Amino acid sequence: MIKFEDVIKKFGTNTALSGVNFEIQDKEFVFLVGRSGCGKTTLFKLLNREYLPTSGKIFFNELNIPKISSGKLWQHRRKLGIIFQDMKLLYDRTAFENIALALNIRGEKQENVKKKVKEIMELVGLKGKDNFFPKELSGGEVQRVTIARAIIGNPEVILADEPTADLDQSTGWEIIQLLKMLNDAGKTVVIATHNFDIVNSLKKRVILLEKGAVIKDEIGRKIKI
Amino acid sequence: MFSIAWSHIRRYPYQAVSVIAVLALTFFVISRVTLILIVSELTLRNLEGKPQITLFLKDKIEERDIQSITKELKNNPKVLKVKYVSKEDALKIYREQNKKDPLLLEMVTANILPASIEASTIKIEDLSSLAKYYKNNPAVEEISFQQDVVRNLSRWAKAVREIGLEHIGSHLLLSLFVIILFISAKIAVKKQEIEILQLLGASRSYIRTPFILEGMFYGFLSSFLATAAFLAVILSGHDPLNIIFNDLSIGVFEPSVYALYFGVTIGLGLILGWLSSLIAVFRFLK
Repeated sequence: MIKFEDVIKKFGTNTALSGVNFEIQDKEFVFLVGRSGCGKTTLFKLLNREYLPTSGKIFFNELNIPKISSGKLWQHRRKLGIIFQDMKLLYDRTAFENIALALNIRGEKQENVKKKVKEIMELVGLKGKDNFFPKELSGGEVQRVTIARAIIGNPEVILADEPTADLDQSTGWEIIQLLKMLNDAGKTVVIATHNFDIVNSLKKRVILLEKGAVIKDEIGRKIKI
Repeated sequence: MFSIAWSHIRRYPYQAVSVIAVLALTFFVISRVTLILIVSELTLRNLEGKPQITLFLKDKIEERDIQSITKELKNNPKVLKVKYVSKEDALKIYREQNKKDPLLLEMVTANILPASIEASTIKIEDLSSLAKYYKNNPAVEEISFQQDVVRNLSRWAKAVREIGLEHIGSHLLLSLFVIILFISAKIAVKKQEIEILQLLGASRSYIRTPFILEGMFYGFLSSFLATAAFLAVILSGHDPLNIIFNDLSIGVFEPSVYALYFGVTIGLGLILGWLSSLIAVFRFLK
C-alpha cells in the first residue's frame, strides 16, 4: 500500500534521507523509530507531499505521490489522517470546530458534521469538551483533538508524528491504545516516535531509522540504541 | 462557502466596516461625478437642439424666395432642423415672452417684427460657413447665430467629460486596490489556517471561494450604501443639481431611471469586488 523506492531527500547539502526502501501493507501497525533528526518527519512530509523527494519513488496505492498534480493533491491528502507533531490546531477555534474542519472541507452537511463530531469526541474521550479552546485543554486532550480530526474523515492510513511527545507516561499510553484500537478497526497506522518503552512493549513492526537510512525493519523484537 | 465567507467577515468586524466605508464613499463620489457628466451632456444636447442660426428676412419678400431658402437649408446635409417663423408667429412669440409687461405689447404689431428662418446644424463648426453663405442673399436682412456660446459650452462639456472620466477611472482603481489590499491582508493573517486546511485536504476552491465571496460582499454592500445615500441626497431636494434638472425638464426622477442606476451601481460593485478579490487570491494564494 505504501512503498518507498530508493528515496533520497536532500536539503541543500544536508541529506535527510539516503536511499530509503520499505513497504507497508494495508491494516499494518508500524512504528517508525529513531532519534530526533533521523528523518521520521521528513518521511511523513514526503508521504503527504509537503516535500518532493530529490530522487526515488513513493507509492500510495500504486499512485506515485511526487507525480500527483498540485490541483489534485487534496484528493490524496484526504486519504491520509495525519496527527502532526506540532498539532496544527487553530487556537481561536473550539475543539468541536477544529475537529469539524476535516468534515467541512469534504462538504459534509452541517447536521452530519454535528452528529459525527459528537460521536468521535466521545470515542476519543473528549465528551463534554466541545466548546473548549485548545488552550483550555490538557496536553493529552489536545492530542486527542488532533487524533479525532485525523480520523473523522475516515482515512485509509493514519500517520502519527510523535503523538506521545510532551505527554506523561500514562496519557501517552492512552493515546497509543487509542491508535491501536483504530488499527484493530482496520486502519493502517504508522507512528513516528522516539519513545522506545512504548515501541518495545507493543511488539509490532518497527522500522528503525538512523541518519536518514533504514537500519532495521523487524517485527516484535526489542529495539535498543 | 457563504457561511465561511461570513465568518471571515465577522472575525474582523472593524476592518470590514472600514473597508465598506471607504468603498461606499468611493462609489458615492463615482455616482456624483457620473451625474455631473450626465447633466453636462444633457445641457449641451439641450442647447444644441435649439436654433443656433436665425436668418431675419427682408419685409418685402416673395413667398417663393422663402420656400427656396427653406428648401435649400433642408437639403443641406449639415443642417439638422429648419423652421420658418412668419411675422404673425414672431408676434405670438413676442407676446408670450412679454405677457407680464403690457406696455411692451401696446405698440407692437406683426408688421414691425421680421419673419425669419431658424436652423440648427449638426456640427457647431458649420454655423459660420452657413452664415457667410446667406450673408449676401438678397432676401436676408440680418443673420444672428450663437456659435461662440455653443462652442464654449461644447468645450466645457468635453473638459467635464474628460475630468469626470478620469475621476471615475481613478476611483474605480482606488476601490480595486482597497479590496486587493484588504483581501491580501486577510490571506496573510490566515496563512496558518490556510496551510492547515491544505494539509487536511481542502480543495483549492474551498480555500479560495470564501475570499472571493468576501470581496463581492464588500463590493455589494458598499455600492448599495452609496446608492442609498446618493438617492437620499437627490430626493431630499437640496441637491444643487436639481435646479438644472428642473430647468432642462429632464426626467431623471422616473422609477425606471432609479432602477437602472441601482442595478448598474450594484452590478459594478459586485464585479469590482469579484475582480479585485480574484486578483488578490491568485496573487497571494498560490
